[in-house]
Amino acid sequence: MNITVRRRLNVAITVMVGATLVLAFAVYDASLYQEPFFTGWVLLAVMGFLALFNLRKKITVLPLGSASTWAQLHIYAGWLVILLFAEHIGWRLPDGGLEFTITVLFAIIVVSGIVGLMLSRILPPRLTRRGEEVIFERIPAFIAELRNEAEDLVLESAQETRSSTISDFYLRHLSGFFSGPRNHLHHLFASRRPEFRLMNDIDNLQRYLNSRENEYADRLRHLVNKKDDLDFYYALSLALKAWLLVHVPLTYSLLILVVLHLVVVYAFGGGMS
Amino acid sequence: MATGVAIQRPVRWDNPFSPDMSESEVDKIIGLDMFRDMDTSKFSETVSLRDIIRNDTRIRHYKKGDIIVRTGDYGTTAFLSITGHVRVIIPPSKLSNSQLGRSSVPKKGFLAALGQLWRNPKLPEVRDPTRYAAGRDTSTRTGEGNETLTFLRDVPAILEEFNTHRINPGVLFGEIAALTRAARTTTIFAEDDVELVEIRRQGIRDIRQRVDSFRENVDRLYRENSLKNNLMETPLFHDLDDGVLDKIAAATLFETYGDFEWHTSYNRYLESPHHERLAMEPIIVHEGDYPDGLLILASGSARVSYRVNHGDKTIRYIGTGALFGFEEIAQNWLEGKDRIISMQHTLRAVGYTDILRVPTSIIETHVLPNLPKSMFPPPAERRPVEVSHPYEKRRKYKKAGAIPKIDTETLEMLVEHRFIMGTSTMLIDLDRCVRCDACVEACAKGHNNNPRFIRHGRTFEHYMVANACMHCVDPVCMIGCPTGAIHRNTEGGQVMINDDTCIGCATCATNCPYDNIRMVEVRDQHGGFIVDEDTKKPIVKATKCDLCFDQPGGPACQRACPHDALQRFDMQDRPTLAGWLNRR
Repeated sequence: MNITVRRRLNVAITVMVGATLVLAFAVYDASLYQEPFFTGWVLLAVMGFLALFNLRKKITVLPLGSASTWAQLHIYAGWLVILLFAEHIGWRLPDGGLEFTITVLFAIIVVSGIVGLMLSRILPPRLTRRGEEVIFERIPAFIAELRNEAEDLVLESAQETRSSTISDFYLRHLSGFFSGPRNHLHHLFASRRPEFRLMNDIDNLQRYLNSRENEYADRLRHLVNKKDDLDFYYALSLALKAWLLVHVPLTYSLLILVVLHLVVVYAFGGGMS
Repeated sequence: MATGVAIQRPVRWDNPFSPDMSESEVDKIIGLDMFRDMDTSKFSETVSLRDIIRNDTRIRHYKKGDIIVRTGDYGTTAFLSITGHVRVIIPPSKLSNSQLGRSSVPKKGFLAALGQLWRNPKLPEVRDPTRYAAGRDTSTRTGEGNETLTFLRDVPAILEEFNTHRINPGVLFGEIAALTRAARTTTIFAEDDVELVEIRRQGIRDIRQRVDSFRENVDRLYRENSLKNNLMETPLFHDLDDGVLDKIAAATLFETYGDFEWHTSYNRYLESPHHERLAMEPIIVHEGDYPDGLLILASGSARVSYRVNHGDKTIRYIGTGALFGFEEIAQNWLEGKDRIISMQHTLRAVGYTDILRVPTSIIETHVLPNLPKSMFPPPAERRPVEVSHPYEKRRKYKKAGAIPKIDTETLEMLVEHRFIMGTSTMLIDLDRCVRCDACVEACAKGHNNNPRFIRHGRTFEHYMVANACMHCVDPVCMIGCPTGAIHRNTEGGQVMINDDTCIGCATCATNCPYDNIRMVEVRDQHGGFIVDEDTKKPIVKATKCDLCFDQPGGPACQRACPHDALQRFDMQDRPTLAGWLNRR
């Protein structure tokens, strides 16, 4: 199915289910039943379903439906759960300590989920346009290789040209840059300022170099470009992974607190049904 | 310009089939009935019959029970018995996978599949060494030149149990599979100790070209055994009776184009400029030629293009079973002799292609008059609709209700890199892939913690063709495997490697032009490398994607991608591929 058609269909279904639930809650409430019990159990069921997605991702060996189908259900049930939560808390911030904590956790999980979704749609095309694919886990090793190459080049330049200009420049401007992944936020927000600044520094340096030294500076410039590409790849790949480090652990924390909330409600909510 | 290292220009027969072939052995072979009466004047001085025998044949010795050719294997050689008898197992009866030295792994059940999650070893490439010892004891032995042969233990029981036919000395066998590069259709084994001449395909081809009687004999065998079946698979001939089919078969010409061993020059081909690459693909039909016959692709793939200024624009590729030229023939027949149109496109062999050419007169006489109207093709269209902008593309397709097409640039790339050979080519949409490696992890979980592909490969636009076995239509990796360890699964058609019988010779890995087979050193359960008793060198095995044939859900990589970024495609199913490429 075409992706646009699928998106429209999913949005339509989600809106319809949401509207039906709101109507059902209203009817339930009008019948003088305790609406929070109803919304609470529906909310818990949907939250449980959302949490199952991570389990499905771990169990790849069983025919439990494709992960992409699960992801679609997760995304749209995720939108629905915001509505359910708001209904459950009566569209206002709860004042109990436990309930407030649950609400804050829930908000962080929702925001991290939305951010993750946006990142997973925005960043991959940017990675693709930048060029060669690199395995994330190998980037530190590639950076180390580049650093060794740059240091060898600088040492060679000092020996061959009998001048410490380039090596001094390296120590002042580039050693930190080559020591590990750098400029995460700049890359994330598509700013090339750090790269431009380094290029500018090299340009300024080259005014004072002879032709032999300029050759070394050009090679150094090439290494800076390659390192910047790796930084770019690292920053974006890290962002694509990092949001899950917030989203998933907090989900488990939330579920634990929700169970506690249930116990408290049933322990001290006698007579309500 | 600097001068490089000078070498002697490589020539044919730098690598003879058997470097140990002696002149007395050549005399012995030439003295056989089949070769003795051949007219040697038909051969040139540079490629004499003696040269062919010396360089393209070898003498082999098999012991009683040794399997000579195995059903399902892809061979490039034919055989001729000098002394002793061989037996062919007549289909449909066939030996079991274990008798053939192949693995027979059942699909895992729910619990067994789930159990992998905690039973998988932590270390890479762990094997149970006792398996290999068991395999060797039961069905393999070391033959000439340290070659591993599979043998049948109880020949009398096999003769009793299976329907077999004896092949006497002097009769050629295995030549059709060698010439057409099709899989062997049956298993042949030594009934007693035999001495055979093995002729490689290049030799058969040369003799066939020069000796009429040999060609007629081979062609007759092909017509009798395979051609009619090939014709019957073509929808145009479905409703024809046997008599008409016989007439068509009798008039059909069998042609081959391209280099049989194209995979050996694949990397050189890729390094050439575009126009040189195109020039390396032999032209089967030229745009503007008179449509003298309906072409049926019996095997291989071909590129369809038309001339644009000084270049050629690819509009599609076609594979086994496809027809070419039918539009032109049908249109000429409908419109009469006054308005003859010529071939609208050029057809080139991609790699290696077998063609069946059914003369136009035969089509006009026997096929077109009785063909239902619905089966007539639309008028031959020279130029496809040019649609380049994605929005315009969507609008036009929507309006016309047409199937989306694959962009020319993508087509060129897929054809030139021969990715069109794949029946399960892995494509990754890099604009949707978040590089989470869920696909690689899922693959590893289904293969004892060893991923069988790499999320790396050639890219075009925003797609990557990952380094995963494509399970080719024409798997060149299977050519030359000495033990038949690499084979097609009889149930699903996947190209698989039997780890128990793989001897680590790397023939398959070398043959695979796409670098999709990896040789690995294997370990025991304690992490130590399993080594050869004599040399103490690590035992090496070939590994590749097996499409998770033993997993209950099929290919895990595809199912594991949460972003719809990874799909596997039968590249001959162009509408599905085009739909996916244009799915935005």
